[in-house]
Amino acid sequence: MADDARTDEGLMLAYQAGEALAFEVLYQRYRTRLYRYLSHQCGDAKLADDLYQDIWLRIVNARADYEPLAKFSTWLFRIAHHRLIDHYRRNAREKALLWESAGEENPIEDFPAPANLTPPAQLERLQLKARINAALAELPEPQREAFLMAEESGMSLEEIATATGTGRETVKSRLRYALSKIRYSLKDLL
Amino acid sequence: MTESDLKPGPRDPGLSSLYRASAGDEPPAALDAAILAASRAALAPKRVPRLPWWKRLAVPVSLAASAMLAVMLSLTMERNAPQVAETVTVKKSAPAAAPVAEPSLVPGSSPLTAPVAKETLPVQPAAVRAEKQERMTGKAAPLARDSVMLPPISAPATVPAPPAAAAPAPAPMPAPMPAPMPTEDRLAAPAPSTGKLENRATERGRADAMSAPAAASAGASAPALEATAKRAISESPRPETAWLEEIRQLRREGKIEEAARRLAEFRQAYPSYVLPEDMKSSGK
Repeated sequence: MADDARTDEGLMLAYQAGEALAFEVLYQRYRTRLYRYLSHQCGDAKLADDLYQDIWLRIVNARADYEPLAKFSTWLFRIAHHRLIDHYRRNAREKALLWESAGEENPIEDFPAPANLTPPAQLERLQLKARINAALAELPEPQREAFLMAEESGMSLEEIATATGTGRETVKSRLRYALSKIRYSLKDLL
Repeated sequence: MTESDLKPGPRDPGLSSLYRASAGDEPPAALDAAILAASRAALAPKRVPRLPWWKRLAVPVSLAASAMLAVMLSLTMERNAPQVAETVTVKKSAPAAAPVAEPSLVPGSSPLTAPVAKETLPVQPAAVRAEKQERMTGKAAPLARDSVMLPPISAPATVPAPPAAAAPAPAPMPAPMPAPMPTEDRLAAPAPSTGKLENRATERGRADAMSAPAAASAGASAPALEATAKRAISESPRPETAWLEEIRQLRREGKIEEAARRLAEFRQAYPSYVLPEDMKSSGK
């Protein structure tokens, strides 16, 4: 199953044609990436589970209308992006507003340093996961999303821009700030 | 933070490796199973709600019933097809051609009844009696037959004699058309159950041929002629009785051989008819 040489788009088209196995291959390729993206974005495992299942079910239900106009990863994370926005609009108005009016010129000094800085270096390795999570949690939502899309799906700036419905330069800026902040938070580890 | 920290590009290799080293989140297995099951269920063909049996069978049953009805009607029509197809000799009124006619056996028959044409006709069941009556009496039988199957035609029994016919005829009797003597071909084909569909057109043509000159010669209207024909038919005696009476008449006239021949014809036509004593005694 894992050795299937078909592209993501080819697998999706095969699933559209009725091949259930193609979807399983596709699912295995993206299950961890999407789940980590959601869990880092939400910060809530239960909510991440719900969103994760909902997004995949949307993929399943949208198979009949699927057209390989873009990379499958772009399509998948765009759905995830919109699903997150919908969730924030329903449950956290302030977060949705943050998404919609996120300033890109915030100097890095405006952000507080990671709250849980740090113990000694040998412990930091052991606490790597917690520190990265904390670093990501400190990021504004758009920047964190750009970082996660780049890391989890390997999407280019253009693809992230397509998935998030923004411009390439905006994505570039968000990603640059995100990297800088994370680097700053984890500078002792780098 | 310096400007060099803001490197353009989507990923930082060092940070990526660090991130991946820390990444250990996996979706729960139950979530995987649920999503894959949903993906397979979406591909399963949706079952159409099953209709009740009487709705599912409505169309084939109605088609079968219609086909059976059609077959039964066809068989009924086939079995009730005309049972008598006899070759009859139709003698048309043709005074000018009187010598061609066979000698009439009925006393007082008019030369107006001289036959001029012979045609083979199928006779429908309703017209059988009239056909047989024609054999025996020669009175209005063709009219009876034709009146059943065909549009009204002239009845020679009541139609006034045409002016042309009056000249050679001794007396243009308003009597019914004399019985055309059964010819050999008539006698040879008495089979009543061999309906000849191909003869129907012939009969219709014959009827037209008969009615046309008759109507033309009589100059009477069609409804009047039809009424006259019907009256003649209703007043005519039973065929069997008339036939026997004709045989008696022949005997009285001393035409023994002719009477015997007619009796043989009668017995052939009515094999189940119980002959009167006088016929039995002399017919044997």
